[in-house]
Amino acid sequence: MSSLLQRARSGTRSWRTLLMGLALPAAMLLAALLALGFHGAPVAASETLFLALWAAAVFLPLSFLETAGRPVHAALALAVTVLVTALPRSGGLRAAAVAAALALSVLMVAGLLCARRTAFGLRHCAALALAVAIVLHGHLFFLHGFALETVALLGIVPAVAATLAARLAAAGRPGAGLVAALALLAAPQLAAEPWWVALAFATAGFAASFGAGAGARLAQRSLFLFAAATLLAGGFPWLRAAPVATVLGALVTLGRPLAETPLGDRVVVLTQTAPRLAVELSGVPVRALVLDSYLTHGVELACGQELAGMELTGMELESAVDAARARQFVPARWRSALVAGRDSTEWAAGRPDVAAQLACPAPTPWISWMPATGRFLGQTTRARFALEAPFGARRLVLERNPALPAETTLAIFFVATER
Amino acid sequence: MKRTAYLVLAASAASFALAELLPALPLGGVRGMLVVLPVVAALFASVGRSAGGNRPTAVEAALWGGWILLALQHQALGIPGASEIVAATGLALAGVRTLALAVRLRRRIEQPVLWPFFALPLALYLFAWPWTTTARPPDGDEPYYLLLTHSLAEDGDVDLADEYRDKAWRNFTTVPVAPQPGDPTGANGEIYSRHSALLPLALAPLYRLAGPFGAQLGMLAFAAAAATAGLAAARSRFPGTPRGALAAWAILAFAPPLMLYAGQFWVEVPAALLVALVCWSLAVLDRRESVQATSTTRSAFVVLALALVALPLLKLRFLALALPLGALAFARLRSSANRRRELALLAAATLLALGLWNNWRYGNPLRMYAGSDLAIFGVPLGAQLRGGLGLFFDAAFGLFALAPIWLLLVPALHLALRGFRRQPGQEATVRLAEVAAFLPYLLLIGMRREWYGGWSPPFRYGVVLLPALALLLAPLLAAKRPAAGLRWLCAILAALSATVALVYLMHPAWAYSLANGSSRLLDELSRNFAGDLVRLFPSMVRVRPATWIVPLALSVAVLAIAIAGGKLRRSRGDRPRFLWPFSAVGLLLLWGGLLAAAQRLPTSRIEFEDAWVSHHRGALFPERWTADRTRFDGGWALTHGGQVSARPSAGGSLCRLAIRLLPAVAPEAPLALEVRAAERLVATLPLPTTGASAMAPEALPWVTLEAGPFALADGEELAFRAVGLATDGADGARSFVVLDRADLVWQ
Repeated sequence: MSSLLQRARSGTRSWRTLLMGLALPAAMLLAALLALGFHGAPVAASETLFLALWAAAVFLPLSFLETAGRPVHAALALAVTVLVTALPRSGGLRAAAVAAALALSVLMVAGLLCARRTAFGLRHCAALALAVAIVLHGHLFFLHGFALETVALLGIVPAVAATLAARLAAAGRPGAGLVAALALLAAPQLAAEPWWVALAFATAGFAASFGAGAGARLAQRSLFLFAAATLLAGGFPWLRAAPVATVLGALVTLGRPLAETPLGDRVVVLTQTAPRLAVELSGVPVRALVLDSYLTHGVELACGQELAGMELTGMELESAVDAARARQFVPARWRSALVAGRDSTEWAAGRPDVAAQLACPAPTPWISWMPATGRFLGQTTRARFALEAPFGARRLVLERNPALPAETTLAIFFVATER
Repeated sequence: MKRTAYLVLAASAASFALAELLPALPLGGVRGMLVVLPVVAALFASVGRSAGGNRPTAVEAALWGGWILLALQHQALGIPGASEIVAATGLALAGVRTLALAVRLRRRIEQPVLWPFFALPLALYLFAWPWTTTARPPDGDEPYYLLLTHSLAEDGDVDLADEYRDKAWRNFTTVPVAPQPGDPTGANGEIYSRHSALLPLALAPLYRLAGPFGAQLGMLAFAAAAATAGLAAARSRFPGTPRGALAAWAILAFAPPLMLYAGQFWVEVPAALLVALVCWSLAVLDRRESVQATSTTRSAFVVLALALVALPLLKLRFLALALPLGALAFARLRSSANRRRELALLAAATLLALGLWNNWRYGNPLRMYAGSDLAIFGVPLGAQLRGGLGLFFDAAFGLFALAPIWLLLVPALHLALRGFRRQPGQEATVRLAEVAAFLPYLLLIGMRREWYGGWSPPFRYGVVLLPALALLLAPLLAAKRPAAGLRWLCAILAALSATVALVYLMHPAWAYSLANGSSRLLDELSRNFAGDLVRLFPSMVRVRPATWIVPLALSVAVLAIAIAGGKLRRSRGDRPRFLWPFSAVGLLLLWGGLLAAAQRLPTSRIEFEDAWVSHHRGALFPERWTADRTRFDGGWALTHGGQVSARPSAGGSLCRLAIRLLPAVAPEAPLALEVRAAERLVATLPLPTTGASAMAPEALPWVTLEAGPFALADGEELAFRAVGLATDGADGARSFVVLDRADLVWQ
């Protein structure tokens, strides 16, 4: 009788657990979809729909872990939903913020679990592996639907990773399990990274799994940081092609901060009728110029075709020390050109039919984004022009090449000067 | 303490170095957060040590490292709006650290030391301040207080004529500052401020030392001190309930409004500190066994007297607080006739001096006020009720909309009244008398047409009451494991408050609303929505069914959850694992329900200036900065060719309209209003010609025109367009019409 009661109690409890596990992701989805349905203009509806589904999908496996009862879990779920529903629906900010919040959610839940348990069962490994896989590769579902690649990365790989991690944990080597699972899940992401990133990852993993003492602890912490960076930056799969390299690049460029972003949040489109953009600069000595742009109706442009001429005018500095001594400046001019295939490309270069027609292969996108219609990623390209010497720029002029076809436009999203 | 001092000094040096190193542009407000981070970290470390050690985990340290990297490099991403996300992330991280430390401080609550309870809010305020100050320049009365501070610090006088002439306001804002209407002037061209000089006087030394930054630091310290004094008062009033005192302090310090007002120049913040000190003094003096002439009671008496005197000197309005609190103190000092005499003399001298000064400077002992302003019983009950309820329930200006966690006041008040009914002893009487002492101020505010505080963040006039309101919360939250309903309520309200607080910190300008029945936050939220969300929220400025239904329903619901939930007992061994997910699901369902209700409930009225209405040309009426704007019925002014449109939720297939409008139509340029349902012209309403010119708001010739019935399906656009009727080609540009509202009747 008592065993029957116990079973009944445990049954009720598991039903409650199942219900609560489903309730939070369902409520997240419902709130986001209702907000979308209530929206006056269907701006970026496909992006909203994807982000809502993505967020709910990541939280679904996480909600079945015992950490689901913690306030931090609820707060993260709420924060993600607020980001999906409340942030502006253009410019890439929302996608980036949601991706970061989802990656953080997985990291924090994993951190909470690690703090409470020494060993993970299959259930924990499966939930975390699935959540990591959805964060890293969830966008493939938007792009390809139930294609083989999607099924493999979102189903088979996490299952294998979870099994491996659980087995190794059961064998008393949870660290090795964690490393193996992470390596499996992040492998497709790391394929686009420089080889030394993968090497660093493997070395840290090796040291953490088999070493002992302070070195192993240090390696474990490095590995954790590495995993966090992979997940956080890899959470922008449609924003960055090489996420870890991007993060490391950000570290490297700390020494050359941006000086000015003269366009602010403005977008300027250079057309045949309005071909010129002129912006005033403060004269701060700069070493490089950065431009984010894309082309429309630029499929037929050959590689190396000049898209726009650029001119910086101001004061050239004879040496870096001269930055502080304006008297030694000499008037100067710097000219260059934005060219097709290297500095910019057609925005829809990722669409299969457009890609087949491109006269010049598209460069690596700086930011990819979900367009209003269609299942492909639009792309923006970043071009960076290093100046030979520090330059006290006062004015920047960009002029669309008049020889371009009349319908071709060049959209400039971001202009920055680097110190 | 010495170690803390060295740490803060070293951190300050690091901050100065960062200020030199980091480029001003393009990092913006995020730069300031990076600059103050060493000092904030030092304060956190000091509090952590006091709390018995709470060092950040590896995850937290990694997150901070990532945040610093992001803060330095976010502009390079080229994503518009990235700064807001960086600032929000930083504030969320600091908020989590703050709350973790606040919980750990439970161990120190019964010790006399107050430093950690001051340093922790100060650290959070300091971290938020660079962003909020960059995102929003001083507004409302703030620049005037700053200008007076500048004058006192630089010239040592209160004559602002030279400050206005030299544009001294450029030291702290880019928005020109001109004398306010009604500012007193001197015989030799002096211009004085209408505002009291006590706050500027207190800030002047800091301003002299470090400019506007010093003055702002002073305001942050006032806010943190108000929270600390609130804790001291709660601790003294309820000595056996450390958890309750800690919870009350946390709500007071880390939830808006104090959090929002901390970096701003409002006289209500130091006034809140004074009220907290009065509450503390009264609690100390109330302990009958210690009423003898101990040093504590002597200092409590001195603090009480000084705080009571300073309140009306800060702002004459606070006399409505100082007098009842003084009377309460007078009644309590039964055993000491000397002190009663001293207090009475001090009160009489202060009142006399204040009256004489005001009479000399303003020609009126009551300054800008008249006797009619104090005629509380001359105000209709409905208006008084709206003002009083609005302070708490209004969607734009109310306390509960700003920080829903304060809704706990409803069960707290119930608990206090129940305690008095069940045990009408001295303790309960004392508490009720203290509550009653704040009623005159509430009545005074409620009767004012500008009960909402004018152009200011929400609950401006109520900020001064916060320490007293926090005192009410302490007994409610005293239990080690509060009942399930109360815990759930706390969870859901805390999550909502944190979200709203973060939004207001990110966009401090959104805290400022026009008194037009909506709120800036709701407008921003519903700007792109196809339906009218605002009508579901209570407004005491523009009365609608929600004005009365929502406060009532909310109070009943909160009370029911807190009381009925108290009867739910957890079964043995069942851990409270569903509390937080259930709260999150509850909030999401509530949001979904609101959206569904806004979509499904038939639209019965369209207010044309609302954010969900699309405006094509035209302008807001009356103009945004019209003095005492609530005297007018607001609307949207259209000239020839202008159009407004909305997509009402249908309550039937046929719709009839009653449009309230103000025609200003010249006979030579006649104007008509076209009504179109889904692009079909359903009515053309010629507008009557008027010779309207400058008129009193009450005398404006508003008329109501009717149209329909006509077919209108759910979600179809209903458009109103002004068209010129002149046959000679005149386009009616000299004529215009102000559309106030359209009432919709569905069949």
